[in-house]
Amino acid sequence: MHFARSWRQQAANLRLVGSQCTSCKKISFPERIRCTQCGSTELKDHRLSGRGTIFTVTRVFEAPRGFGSQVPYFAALVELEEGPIICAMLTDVDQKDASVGDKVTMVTRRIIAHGDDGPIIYAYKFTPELEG
Amino acid sequence: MGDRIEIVGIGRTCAKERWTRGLVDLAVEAAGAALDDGGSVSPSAVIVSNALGGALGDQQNLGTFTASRMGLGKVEAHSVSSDEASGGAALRLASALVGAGMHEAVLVVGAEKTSDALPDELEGVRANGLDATREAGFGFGPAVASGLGMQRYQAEYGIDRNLFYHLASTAHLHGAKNPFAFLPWELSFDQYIHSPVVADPLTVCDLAPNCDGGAAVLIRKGSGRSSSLVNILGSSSVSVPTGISEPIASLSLPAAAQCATLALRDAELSLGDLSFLDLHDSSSFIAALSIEAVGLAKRGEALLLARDGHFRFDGPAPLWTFGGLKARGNAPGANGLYQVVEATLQLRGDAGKSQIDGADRALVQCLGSFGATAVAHVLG
Amino acid sequence: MKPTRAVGVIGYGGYIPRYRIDAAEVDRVWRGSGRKEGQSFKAVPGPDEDTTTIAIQAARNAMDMASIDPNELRAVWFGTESKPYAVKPTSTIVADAIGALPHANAADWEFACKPGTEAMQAAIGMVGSEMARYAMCGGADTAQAKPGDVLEYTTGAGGAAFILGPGQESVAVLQASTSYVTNTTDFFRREGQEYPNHGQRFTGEPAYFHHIRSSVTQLMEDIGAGPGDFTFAVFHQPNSQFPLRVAAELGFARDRVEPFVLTNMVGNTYSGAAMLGFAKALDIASPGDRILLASYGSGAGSDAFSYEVTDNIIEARKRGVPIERYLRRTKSVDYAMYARYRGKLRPN
Repeated sequence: MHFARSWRQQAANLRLVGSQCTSCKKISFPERIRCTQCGSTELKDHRLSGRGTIFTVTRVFEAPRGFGSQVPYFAALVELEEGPIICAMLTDVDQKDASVGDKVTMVTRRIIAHGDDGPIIYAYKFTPELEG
Repeated sequence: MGDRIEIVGIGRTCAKERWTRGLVDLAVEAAGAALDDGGSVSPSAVIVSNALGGALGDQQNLGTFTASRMGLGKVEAHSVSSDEASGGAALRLASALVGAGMHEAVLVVGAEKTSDALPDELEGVRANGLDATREAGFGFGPAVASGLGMQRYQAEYGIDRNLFYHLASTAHLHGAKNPFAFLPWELSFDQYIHSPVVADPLTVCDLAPNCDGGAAVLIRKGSGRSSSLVNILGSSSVSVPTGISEPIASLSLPAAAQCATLALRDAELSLGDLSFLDLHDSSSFIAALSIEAVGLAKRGEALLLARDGHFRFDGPAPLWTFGGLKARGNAPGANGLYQVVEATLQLRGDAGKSQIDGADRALVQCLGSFGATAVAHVLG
Repeated sequence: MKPTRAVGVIGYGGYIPRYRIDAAEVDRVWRGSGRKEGQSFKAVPGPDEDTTTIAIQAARNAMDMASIDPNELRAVWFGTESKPYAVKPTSTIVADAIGALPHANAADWEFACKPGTEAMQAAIGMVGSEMARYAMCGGADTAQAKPGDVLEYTTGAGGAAFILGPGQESVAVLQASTSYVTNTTDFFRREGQEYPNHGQRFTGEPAYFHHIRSSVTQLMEDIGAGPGDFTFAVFHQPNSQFPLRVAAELGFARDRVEPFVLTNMVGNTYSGAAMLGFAKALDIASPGDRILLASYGSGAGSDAFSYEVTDNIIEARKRGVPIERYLRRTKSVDYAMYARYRGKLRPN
């Protein structure tokens, strides 16, 4: 069981907190402790908006261990408004609504539960914007 | 590179599900074959490559345990792990030990035992070769990554999805002649298109099958004189920023491209000088990008050339002459050394039914972490 | 009961999962009849949803409407009877997700189906005493029922969140609240058990009806109001009949109550039920309207509230997500998919 591992990832998982370099302004997600662009160690938390578009998407039928209960699921690269492309599942979505270029927003869902007695990891997935 | 390195012995195990053999057994079996092949040369160091063993609950510090089980007595022994590029990495580091004059002869062994794990468990552990937190932790493994890549390759180049068949069928055509291959049969188009979907549009037939395997190479500093032995003429390794979105967005493998270029430059050769190649083909997508990365095909044209027989044993640029990962099997930590063993057999003229006529120069390249790590060797 | 300074709801939001199962489908599986007594659907949480994720989305929607700095929240309190963790608060996860930590009180409340309104009373007290400028309360559930039990026809999933704050910032200002609680065991779930037990008809008259009648009667007496003074009235809704019957007994006109009985569309969302109904009422209310909210929780008790809607509601609603959108966003599942999504099939 990984207590500290999931704990230190919570800000990114629940609030999409990445980092921004105070010197070169590069935005990173996930958070970095050393800027990969300029080497600065002066970085501050930077919360991303959670809005983005589907860059590419696949429907998964054979999953790595721990994700089988969600098969078939949509795994996508989501291009966030701020620039970073992140790996995330889509949820509450049908095939016809999971196309490249579609707008999606972040929601928080159960990503994986470690057995019946282990911790539950809550983190981001993306979903089509709710119709008005 | 500096002084050339000679390959004095090679060994490999059958790349099948070896139910009676454990991880260390596979290493020992391959290493023993290489020592037998190397005659009187005895190594003073052993480097063992492995990608998954520790994570799968198997033996760690494989270098020392392999040396021990070989009965090598007092030797220097280490393990090397660079995902599916481990084998190439181990050979490069072993060459450095020899080149630096620290050892006369080094035994390089690659081993992987995948059949002890269930498929989803194995995919979960392989996924940690990607970003363990932000990719593997979110349900993305190597198959998902390649599915996303195929989706985009197809969309970007307006290519018929079924053209990917020709990569797999080329590998199988060659693998069918390799008695050590995991899947030694030809792949029909019908089989291919009816293969179950793993991550749309990628199917089981677009993925190299995981297998057990061991491959080993005994090297020593070259004598400088022309000999009948196969030499490492050049080598290189390049790592670039990780992340599956990079190859998918750019439809390119910059590490593989640069690595191959540098290895050829090191060998003072060009692509046209090669008699055959072996490139990383853990999936159809990675195979296509690998081909384009080294310059065998223009961007978006790998599948078309494959369809036209370009990479067959009788074509202008034979690839995967023993079946590649797709037909010989994917033993992640041993792949890079299988490539070297198989290329050495070709260059020695000992490839049997798989022999390419007049083979005298080869480039082999293995990749790790979805192309973020590349290691290439030029042999001749 | 009322606080010394004016307190009200400054933002609210709800959430309902998209999947729906028809009660007739439940009936088909357990009784083979496929009976159809009018349309009756219940919301089913997806395989990646639970009370925590429902509460988080409701809380985010409430925060969007309230448009306040999350660090100004001094409490994040959620009520539920389907906690994903038996020990470890759901509320800390919700509070973290909306950025309200660490200077906030976070706790889970439990009182069968009414912990959300208990938390609301506490939040009113906290804001009313000026211990806090803002406090969030809510209720959410993925309601549990034994497979084949009569409860299974209605147990839904959903939740709502409310942010309480100073009266002048409110979209609805509280007039008063009452509670009526007795020691009545009409429905319970023992520790470690997966599904609750209920006393069938005992859950009716001596439980639901008696407690709601008592709390609402007391509330109206306290503020000198009658049923005719309320534009809308929202009651806990374990099914579609109970709230209409108790409304009639108390003298509320059916058309003032029925639009907020969501049971036929989402089922009984337990801790979310009355609160989602209240959110729906706020979605369509006009400034000056008075709204009655009466919850019920087995065990047993009822909390009643009277709110008056303010002019602020017009602008605030533009920043929120109407419950109607979630009611319209549906995807049908059959019993097999429902059983899978609810974890009733256990491959491991």
